[in-house]
Amino acid sequence: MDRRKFLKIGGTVAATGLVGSCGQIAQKVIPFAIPPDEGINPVEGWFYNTACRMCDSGCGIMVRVVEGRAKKVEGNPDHPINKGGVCARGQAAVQQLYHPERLMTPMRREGAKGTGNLVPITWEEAISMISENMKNAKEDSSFIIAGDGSDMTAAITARILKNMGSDNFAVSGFDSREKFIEATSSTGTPKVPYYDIANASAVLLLGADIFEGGASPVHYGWAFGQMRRGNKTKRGQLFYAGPRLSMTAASADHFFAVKQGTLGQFALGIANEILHIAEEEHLLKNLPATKVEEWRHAIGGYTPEETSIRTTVPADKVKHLAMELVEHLPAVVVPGDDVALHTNGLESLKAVEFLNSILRELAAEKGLSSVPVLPKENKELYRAMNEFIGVPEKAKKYSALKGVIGKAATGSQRFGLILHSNPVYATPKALKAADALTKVKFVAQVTNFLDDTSLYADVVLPDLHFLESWSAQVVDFPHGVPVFNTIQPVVNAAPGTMQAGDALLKAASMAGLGVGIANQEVMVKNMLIQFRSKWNGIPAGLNEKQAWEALLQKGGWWADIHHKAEKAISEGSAWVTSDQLKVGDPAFAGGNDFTFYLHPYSTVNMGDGNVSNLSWLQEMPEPMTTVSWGSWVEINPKTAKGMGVANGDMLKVESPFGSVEAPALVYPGIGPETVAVPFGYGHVSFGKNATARGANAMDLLGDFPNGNGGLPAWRAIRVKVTKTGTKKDIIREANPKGEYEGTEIFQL
Amino acid sequence: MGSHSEKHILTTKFQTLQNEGKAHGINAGSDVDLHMSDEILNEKSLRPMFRTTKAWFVYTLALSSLVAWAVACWGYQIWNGMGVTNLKHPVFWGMYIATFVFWVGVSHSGTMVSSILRLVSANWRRPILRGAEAMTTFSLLVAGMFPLIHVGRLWRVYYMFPLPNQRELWPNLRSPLAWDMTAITVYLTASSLFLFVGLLPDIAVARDLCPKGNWRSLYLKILALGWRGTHRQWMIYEKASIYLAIFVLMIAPSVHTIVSWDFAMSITPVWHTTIFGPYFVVGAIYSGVAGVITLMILLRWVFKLDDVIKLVHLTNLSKMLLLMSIIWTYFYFTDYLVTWYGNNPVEMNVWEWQTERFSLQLIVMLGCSVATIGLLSWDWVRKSPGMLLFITIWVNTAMYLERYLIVVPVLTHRDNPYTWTDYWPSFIETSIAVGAAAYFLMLYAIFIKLMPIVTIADVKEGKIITGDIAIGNTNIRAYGDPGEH
Amino acid sequence: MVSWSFNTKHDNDYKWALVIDLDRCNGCGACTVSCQAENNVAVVGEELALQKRVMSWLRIERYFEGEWPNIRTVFLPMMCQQCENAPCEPVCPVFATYHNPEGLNAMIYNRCIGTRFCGNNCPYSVRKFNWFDYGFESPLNEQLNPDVSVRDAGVMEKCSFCMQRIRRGKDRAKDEGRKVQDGDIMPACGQTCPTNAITFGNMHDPESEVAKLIETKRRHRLLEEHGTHPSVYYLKGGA
Repeated sequence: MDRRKFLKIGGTVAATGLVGSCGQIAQKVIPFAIPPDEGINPVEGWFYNTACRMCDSGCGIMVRVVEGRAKKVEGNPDHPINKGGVCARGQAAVQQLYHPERLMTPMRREGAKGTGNLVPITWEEAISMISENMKNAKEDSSFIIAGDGSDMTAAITARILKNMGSDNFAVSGFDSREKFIEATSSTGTPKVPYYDIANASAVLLLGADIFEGGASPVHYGWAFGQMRRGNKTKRGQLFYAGPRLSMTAASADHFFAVKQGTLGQFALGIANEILHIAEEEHLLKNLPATKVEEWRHAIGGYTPEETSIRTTVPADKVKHLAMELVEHLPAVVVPGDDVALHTNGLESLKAVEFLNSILRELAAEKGLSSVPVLPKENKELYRAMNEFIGVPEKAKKYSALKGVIGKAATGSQRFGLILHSNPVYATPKALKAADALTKVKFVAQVTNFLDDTSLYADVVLPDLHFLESWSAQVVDFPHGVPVFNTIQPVVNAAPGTMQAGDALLKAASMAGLGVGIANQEVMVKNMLIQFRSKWNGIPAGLNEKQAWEALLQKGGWWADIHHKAEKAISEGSAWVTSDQLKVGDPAFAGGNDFTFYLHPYSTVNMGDGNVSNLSWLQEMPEPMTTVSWGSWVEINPKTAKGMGVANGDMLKVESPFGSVEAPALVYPGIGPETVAVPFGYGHVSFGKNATARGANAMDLLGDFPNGNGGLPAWRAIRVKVTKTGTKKDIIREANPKGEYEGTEIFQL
Repeated sequence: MGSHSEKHILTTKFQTLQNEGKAHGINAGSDVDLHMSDEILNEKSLRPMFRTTKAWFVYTLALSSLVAWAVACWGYQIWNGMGVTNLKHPVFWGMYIATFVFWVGVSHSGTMVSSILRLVSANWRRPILRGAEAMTTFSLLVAGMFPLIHVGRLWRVYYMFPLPNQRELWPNLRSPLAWDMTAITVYLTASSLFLFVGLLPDIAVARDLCPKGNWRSLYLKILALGWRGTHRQWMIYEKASIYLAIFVLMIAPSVHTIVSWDFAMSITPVWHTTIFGPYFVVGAIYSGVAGVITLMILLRWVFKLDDVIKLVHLTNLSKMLLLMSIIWTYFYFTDYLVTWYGNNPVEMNVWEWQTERFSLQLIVMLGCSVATIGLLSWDWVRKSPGMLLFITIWVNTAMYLERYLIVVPVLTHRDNPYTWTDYWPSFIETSIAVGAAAYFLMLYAIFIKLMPIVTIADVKEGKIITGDIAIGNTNIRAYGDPGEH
Repeated sequence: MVSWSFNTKHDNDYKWALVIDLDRCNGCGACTVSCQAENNVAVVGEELALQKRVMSWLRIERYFEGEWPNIRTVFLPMMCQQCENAPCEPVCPVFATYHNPEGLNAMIYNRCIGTRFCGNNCPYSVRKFNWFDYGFESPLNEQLNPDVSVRDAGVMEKCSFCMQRIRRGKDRAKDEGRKVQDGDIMPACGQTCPTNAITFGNMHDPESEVAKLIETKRRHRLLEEHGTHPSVYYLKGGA
């Protein structure tokens, strides 16, 4: 074979190959499959307005229902609280409705309390058992712990409790808004101030994780969007001061790391600097000069340098922040758990409210408003609606919950009703709720799922899911407007189930303690009848049925918001007096060998743990740590290196009150002397998804010290952290190195 | 023929001719034992086929059980889903694809040895042709299985073939995977044909020398297609062999280029480079040649074919191996030099990760280049079957690791840093990969029992062509008989 | 001014685009759960989540810069960018992923044979593969959206810009004898977003919200150097 021959033959072969493949090239290669955009014929379905009950914010939702099945939760765009948005927990409501572990029959305890031996019984049995025990309860020997104090079931049971001669009603849930009530009770501003973030030009969050939990993450999320880019001419700035970079803090333009317990002093430092600026620039002209002088004298000690020493924020940053607030009005300061849940919590809240008042005054001077004005008649209406519900204000305080548990522990209580609440899980172990319940003669629990508290109940009643229920809610949170939510069934309940509130009504009337209401639906109708005339927007010409329809179609009733520049000091109101402008140094539980500050917090997907059994929320990565399916202990990277701790090393965190074990997570967003543990995990009994998963941060908490006006000082606890030597896989969506490369690669 | 002295003269004359031939640079068939008679050659070549020892049965049984286990694992994977592997987001390709590319690479053994050497008339190719061509065909069979193994819905894989259907659906010919399918099918067809055509004279020998009553006689008779050794048949045979050799030679680089385009045509950072085409082809030939050497050494040793497959064959093959090693190392260096100079942050991240996580594999792979070039430059290494076995096994390990290191590191550390992760093969994946290798060896072992493993016809031809004498620019073919023993 | 689009013809009535305002996104993750509810995305469980097999079509990528206390965080909602020049389309051997006339990159689930080349070729790593048949335990299957198929093991899936909602919007518009107006269609993620960070609409309509947002200074697309021409525009955060 020589070259020439090779090339000749090779060329022929190649040419043959090419020729074969040429010819009729397909003009268009059309996939003759039916592509989705022609093949889908979407179903329309119905949308029903109701309210979401996954937390007590009271967002209005529309639920898409197809063939009698609830498919999807969407927000009601007209609702003033959520403005059409729904949070992750709200979306998971449909998982709750169709959960395989939903309790469908009443259960009775068999065996000792705490063993969890429950057997199914009929509704008749359950109702008669409850009725018997209602009858036998004497004066002041019954109590109710309710997850929410503002809905129809609470209203019904409050009335029954009253008939039983007791007022031991406690609303559980530690995102209580009592801190605001307490703080503002002496300043004359609205009892529960509304922080109008949407219209603000600068917002300073003091440890206030408003996008994650607390009062209304969806509302504040909406407000944040408005503040940032809702206005074509200005972009609002967000500042966050606190001991941890939370999800909320992550959206801030500036983050200030502040030592635990010193946010009140920080607020006074800012206020002092603002007063200083005000003097230089001749602001605050409408205030009596003596008053201003008095204040300057009272807080003069909080110079930037002094503030810096107390709070660890550099002095120039304090000055700069004060200037920013003055220059970008209206400015709002929102206090959060890092302000309130300390030994100096109450003083700190007052200090923050003082700062807010000054900022409101500065804004008013410029003709800007930072607080919506509730017409007087609305305030009155709000009070009246609350009164209809009938749960006393004091029930909504933490002290009420403590009190009730304390009473139960004495063994004096003969009847306890636990409504959509899990006190055995969601209170500090130091309160010994489980022990207390053991000492109660008869405990009835109303719930959708068997949980930690069910272990201590005598009878467990399954309630209808809120998507199957008739109810209503007077929303207890200051969104600036009174809101009345109607809750209607969007799907039919399964046969054999019953509204627990109705069952309790039956039991009460059997016991001779009837409250004269047929059922929850009727009660809502009664509210319509009573308040209709005050609810502008429902045309007077409609008959009862039409009005009812109109109400349900709207999803409830709410007032309109007005903004008006107002003088910060209403005539004749009491300003905070100078002697109240004092914030003491914080004290902490735990001696010198407890070397870390503990930062227990709620995550946006777990909340207080009442949704831990939902797989969507377990699988959803927590936004800052990106962990799913389990809890963790956050530890600063430098500290971790020093201790030889890597991701996944099991750590034992021990406080003066208890201890937990959880895998370590190296997290850059906390200080070197702080560790953070999330709430919502560590259930002892709550279904497949939540039982024995993670650690219950509540085990680390206790009530130290007392005297904070009844508020628990849960951020004032110190812990020791030790390695246990074992490891556990921690499930993180983010790659630990990659999460630092994204801003460069994506050019953000 | 002739007296002893005549023979002696002839032999001496032949020796002179040989030397002269060598002086003119013509390979004068010194690699064929001219003194071996046809009978002895036949007997030696057919002994592996007709005489089966117990050892063979044990060996083949062991391999079949590995294969059976792999098939069971595959069945488990089909039943449960691809999740039984360790693949994840975003590592969608893993050990299966690496193994696939490796086996396609090994299939270049036959191409190189058989086609190229045939076409340049390198006489030393003669005894090893069969072994190499068989390797090609069987490794392609193994390679062809891996796309089926790695596909998520095997029961729908026929969507990828251009089968007529009433929806007028056609595969996407823009996809490198569609090209893969075509290329491998063509290559498999061509190399099987090549193997079969080359086998014809040898099947005839086996048929003629088959012991009476042996179970093989039936299929040998059928498959020999009535070969009688006539002049006309030899002429057709020669022509067909050459055409097929050219055809296969042209297909083979295109096949591996197309397989390399599975990577180069994507926009994945480390993959998107134009050198992949030639780089893969060179790597394939490298690994193929090493594979041939390994197999030949083992065949020699097991079947005592030392004087048929002589040391000189191994030595020459190892010279080819040295050449391929140099070229491969050059391509590897080019690829990395260019990438390093470009300083693309994503690619730099992948490298950093690769050196951190796959440091051992990198050392084995790069160390192999150094070792091969270093050691094979020494004469004694090239002459030592033991050293050659060690080197060629290392080469193939390194080439497997090279495929793995192309596929896996970049997928675990892609553009999007949030999704960076890690990957290692699961037990199922390893079982199937090992089972595939066992399948290859098993096919080979069975082939040895069914067909002659030495290219008898070519060796005999080599004996006859004792010395081509160059006179001026012309080669005169010498058809003399060098003499009887 | 008509916004520029690469492959979709300029005179096509619709070209869908999604605009995400990173200044508004606070990382709450409601969109991810909403997408899961709307599109029948399976839950994989703890063990498979550890193996990085979570099926979510939309994820919030949280990036850090710096160290305590000077940390900058960016939340980046990442979903299929519906590239005009999609790298995942040419490499599928069976045409299971294709470009529809309105600029979307659509999946035909029952055509997919699971070679997973498309997943490899996506620079954003947004495609997901069904490693197993995950299933929906009764009665959770009552919640499944009838407009979206439930995927088999062995097929790829990804965000479709809620194709079913686009269809519904176009159906409604057709019934009423008009074109789709701005605001008629909103994918599940955008509808639930509390901060209104997500806007969706027709880029070829100069009056639409997305067309206006795309013209702003903050507009940004990811990995433009790959030449993929995504249909998802991000508005950069910060002053």
